[in-house]
Amino acid sequence: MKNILIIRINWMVKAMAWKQIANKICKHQLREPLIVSAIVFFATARDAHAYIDPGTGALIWQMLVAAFVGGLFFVRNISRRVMSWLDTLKGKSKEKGQ
Amino acid sequence: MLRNSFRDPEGRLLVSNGKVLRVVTRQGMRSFQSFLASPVAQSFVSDRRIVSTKVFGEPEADEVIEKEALRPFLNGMEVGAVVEHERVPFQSYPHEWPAELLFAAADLTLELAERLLTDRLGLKDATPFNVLFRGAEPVFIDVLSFEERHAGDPIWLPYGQFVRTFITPLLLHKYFGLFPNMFFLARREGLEPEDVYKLCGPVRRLLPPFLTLVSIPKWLGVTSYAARTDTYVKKKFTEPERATYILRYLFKRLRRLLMRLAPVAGQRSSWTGYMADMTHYTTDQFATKQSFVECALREFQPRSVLDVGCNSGMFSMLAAKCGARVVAIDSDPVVLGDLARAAWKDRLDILPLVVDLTRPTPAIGWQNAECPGFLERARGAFDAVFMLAVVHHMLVSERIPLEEIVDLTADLARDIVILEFVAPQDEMFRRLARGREYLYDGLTVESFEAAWRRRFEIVRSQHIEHTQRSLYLLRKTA
Repeated sequence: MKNILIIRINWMVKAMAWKQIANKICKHQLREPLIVSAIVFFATARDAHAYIDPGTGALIWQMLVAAFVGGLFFVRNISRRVMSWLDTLKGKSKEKGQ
Repeated sequence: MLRNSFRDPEGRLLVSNGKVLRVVTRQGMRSFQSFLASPVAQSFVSDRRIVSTKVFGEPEADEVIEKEALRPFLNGMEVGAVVEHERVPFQSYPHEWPAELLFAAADLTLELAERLLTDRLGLKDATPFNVLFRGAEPVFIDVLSFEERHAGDPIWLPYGQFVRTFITPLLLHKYFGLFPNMFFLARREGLEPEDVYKLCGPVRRLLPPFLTLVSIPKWLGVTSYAARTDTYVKKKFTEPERATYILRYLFKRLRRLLMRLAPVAGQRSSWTGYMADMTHYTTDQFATKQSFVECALREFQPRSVLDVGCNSGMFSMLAAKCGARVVAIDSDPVVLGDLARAAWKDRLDILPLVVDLTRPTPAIGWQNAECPGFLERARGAFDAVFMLAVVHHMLVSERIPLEEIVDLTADLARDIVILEFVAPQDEMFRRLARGREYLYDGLTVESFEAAWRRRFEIVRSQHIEHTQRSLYLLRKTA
């Protein structure tokens, strides 16, 4: 039921959008490319869902997590370098102290 | 000949003369050789957690193919090698496993994925059909599932399949009390996030673990990124160290999740209290039954036993302790789960399966031949069959005619059958019959024995004192 409603709304929006564009063409008013492209963007139909492998969602999530964790790795590396630099400093100051 | 191996271009699995032979094509030799060369993989083989491999290289491979007449099944593939695997005694499938076995298979698969990383080896897929059971111990059977990993690849492609086929069913088991055998028949590839999403209420969807396992993949699945054809093409490589770090984090997270979903003891069903609350046997009467079975086992020493309606598995354990390989079937997954735990604890060779003998698992898959049905696998596969206090269930609840029960049992057993006859006057029988006792007026001890005598001889029988039950030891004659 919900799907039919969405499809119908989609068609209505598309029809309205094309009507608008047709009007503007007739009246030589096609000077708002931003508005036109916005109308066309929202009026375009979505892809056929049946051909999308459902596992793709899990894969995308894994890629996002991987990117995030990769960032953590980067941060961890930097913090390790900073720590070891601090340690060498401490070492030097201890030597000087003695 | 096995009809379930046709998808992989790197090889084909064939069974000939009781031998399990895998033909590896030239295309698959590279991955196969990295598997043979990997110390971690070979340690799994020596631990008997990956199936054993005996490799026949180039010249011998052709000899084996000619000897076993495998050429017609090769469809012109270029042969790289032929591998002989040990035979796993009884095949079983996820739609027959209690949740505990599915968990064990998941545990093995994840451990393989984690530990093979050190040798730069990975799994191409993560599905319960790659695992069979020896008793209650899982063994990984698809050696062509291993492939070399690129050192800088931070993505584990089978993640989605692992979640779908292992994690989601265990999730439903823990949170909704559903059993894997309920839906694996209909959904062989497991459950998609979308399916589980519908089961969750609006609050549960936002709580872990459902949020990251179910809701987010579902929401991401409808974005336009999901519709792109290059999502699955491996392109984003990073430095090896970082890739390893990312992958180890992923496996650690999955491991923690899996442990959280481990099925625990203490679940209740209508059959869990059966042995403990048993009021229809006194201790003496039960001891009679036990010693009857033990004597029969000692006399005939069956190497393989099918225990029908095993419940807590008391008699399966007796048989296993006498050295038999046991397949224990029952229609209740909860008691089978407890039996799996007992088998693990005492290291007994018992394979608990959720099978109702009156409606056994059908053959499924391509041409209904990929996964043979239970009866096809079980016929003639057992030296002994136990049907203790189960025939009256089949007669009364399922209304199977006695003659047909006799014929099926004769098909399943090679040698002996241990049977318990419950007379219509018995209280349990009357409870099942529920007012329709007139249907069983003709069922007397004599008519019962006459029916079994058609295919068996009665070696000995024993009436259990003060009950309406008798035990029979039968030997197959026809």
